[in-house]
Amino acid sequence: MVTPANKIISIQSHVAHGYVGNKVAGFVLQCQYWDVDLLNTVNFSNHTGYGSFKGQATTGEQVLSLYEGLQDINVQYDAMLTGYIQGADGVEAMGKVCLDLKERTPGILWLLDPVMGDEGELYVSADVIPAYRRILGYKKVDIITPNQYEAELLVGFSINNTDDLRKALKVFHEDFNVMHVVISTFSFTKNKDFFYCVSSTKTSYKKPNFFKIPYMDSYFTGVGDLFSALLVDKIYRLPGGEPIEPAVSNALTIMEKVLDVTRRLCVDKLGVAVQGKIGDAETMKECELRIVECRQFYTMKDRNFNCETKILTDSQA
Amino acid sequence: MDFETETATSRTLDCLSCSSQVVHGHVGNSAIQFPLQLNGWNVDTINTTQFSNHPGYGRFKGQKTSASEVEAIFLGLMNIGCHYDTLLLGYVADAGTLRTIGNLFAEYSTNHGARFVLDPVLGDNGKLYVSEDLIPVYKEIIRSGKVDMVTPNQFELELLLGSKINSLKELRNAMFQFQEEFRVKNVVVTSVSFPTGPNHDDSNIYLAGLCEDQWFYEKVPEIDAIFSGSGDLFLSLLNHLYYHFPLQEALIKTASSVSKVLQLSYEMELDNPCKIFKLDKLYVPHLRMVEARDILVLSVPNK
Repeated sequence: MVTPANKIISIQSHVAHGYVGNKVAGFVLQCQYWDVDLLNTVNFSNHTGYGSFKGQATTGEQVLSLYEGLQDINVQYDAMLTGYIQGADGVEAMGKVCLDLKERTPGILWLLDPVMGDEGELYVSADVIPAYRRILGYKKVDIITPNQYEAELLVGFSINNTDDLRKALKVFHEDFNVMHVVISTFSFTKNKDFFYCVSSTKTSYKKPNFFKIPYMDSYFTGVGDLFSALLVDKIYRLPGGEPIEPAVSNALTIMEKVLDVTRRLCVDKLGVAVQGKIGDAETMKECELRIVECRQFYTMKDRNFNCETKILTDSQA
Repeated sequence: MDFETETATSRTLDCLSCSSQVVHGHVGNSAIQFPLQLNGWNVDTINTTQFSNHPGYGRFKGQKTSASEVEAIFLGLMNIGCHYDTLLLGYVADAGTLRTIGNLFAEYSTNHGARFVLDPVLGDNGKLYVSEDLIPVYKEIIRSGKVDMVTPNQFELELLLGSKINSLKELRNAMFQFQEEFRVKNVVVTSVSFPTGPNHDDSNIYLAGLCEDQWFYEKVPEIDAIFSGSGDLFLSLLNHLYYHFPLQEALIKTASSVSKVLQLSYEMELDNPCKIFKLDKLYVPHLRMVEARDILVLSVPNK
């Protein structure tokens, strides 16, 4: 007999062309044996980095109505994944949906990716910050995957040293009761050669793990969405639930393969790697992740990234 | 470069699919996209709806995308210079949106040589599930001469031609008539059965193809159930295979793969039935696309 696929709902953006949000999560999760329900928070022609796009956002009211439709036919899930939502209205609706599912289904896994911005630039409306904080205040999120900037926005202070990091992790683990925090891109200094991915688990949050990742001289979009779609699967399938470092390493290894293929194809086409968002459509199209081309990678078991545990002592002050 | 990376950097094909979207289940774009992706196609999707689920469940929530928004999204794709090898047009809920997207697709295929495949989604098993206003619009689009292949089921062919089909002979005549009247090179008709007459068959259904002047039919074992999304899955795989094989070969391979997916979905539904019956048959609302992924990968010769 065939094993039924695991079931997940993914609440993220939809673009007709290209790979961000649900366009990444849908296929990547299907390849990892998930039956994915895609609830689209926007319906755009392409992502906004192209300089032009068409389409509309789904209202919070519409999100709730779709969820009501799903409840009417009694759909059940093993996990939830949430990502890019443009405004507070949508974030609040997502919160209601996920909190209700948490209540109905004990044991359902919730990965929240608080997509807000990167490197000091906010690309959602500012009112989503308190909206995400309110959701976290219910203490029901299992895994959160902010980048450093998003982590800083959520905890309300910047993270410049190990003491700040300890305090930030304490907010996530204690105030928000999040089991696993994975800060996808993290750096204390303006180092141009590498950055870290930091993972931390509630039961040992003073001992986070640092994965050292070399910078790639390329601009890509949808990378965070790929990471969350891989990580939710890898963590879900961990035999004992934790430690999660093998799952993080596995996800990072797959990401590296996908980025390598994407970069090669981009360089083949344009002759050079693209360094940053420039709003020229022909160039931007070559920065789209090669999600379909890389389909054989998503179930790889390889773990090529080692991590280093740092012990964060309480503030001396 | 390792073998897998090398494979990943080989050329893919690009398809634009305009059809419905549901959050739960696999109909419309949710049935079209995954099989094509598994076979290496990049699929851009214009969603003509966002519904919670297929209406076959008896209830659903959500909205249709307006004609102006569908047009805007298509123009957005043109603004960034998207290129397509094939265009698929499936479920559209209203006549205005259908006319708009039909014209845009016809124009694109003329200017860029993309293959335009049209599935005139109107109904099944003798029941219309869209507004009647769509029938003349489908006729108008097909008559434009820009459509490469049309894939109605028996009921839809009957609606477009305005006459019932009661035997294989009538089916053959109807398809030639359709080809001539609507100026379309390839016609594929699915889900054909005859309740009485010389070709009545209790355990099989027919499907038939007409490519230029070559007409052929196949029999496939009938599964005693009603499915949602099977036509969309068929369209998806046929689009893939017809890009690489002659129509008859593509049709046989498609039918075989779709039958296996339906059989798997039926068996998995029996384990945990939704307990909805339609026309006295078990309703299977959920195609098990993910579980059937190995069946959906259909290798093709290198081009």
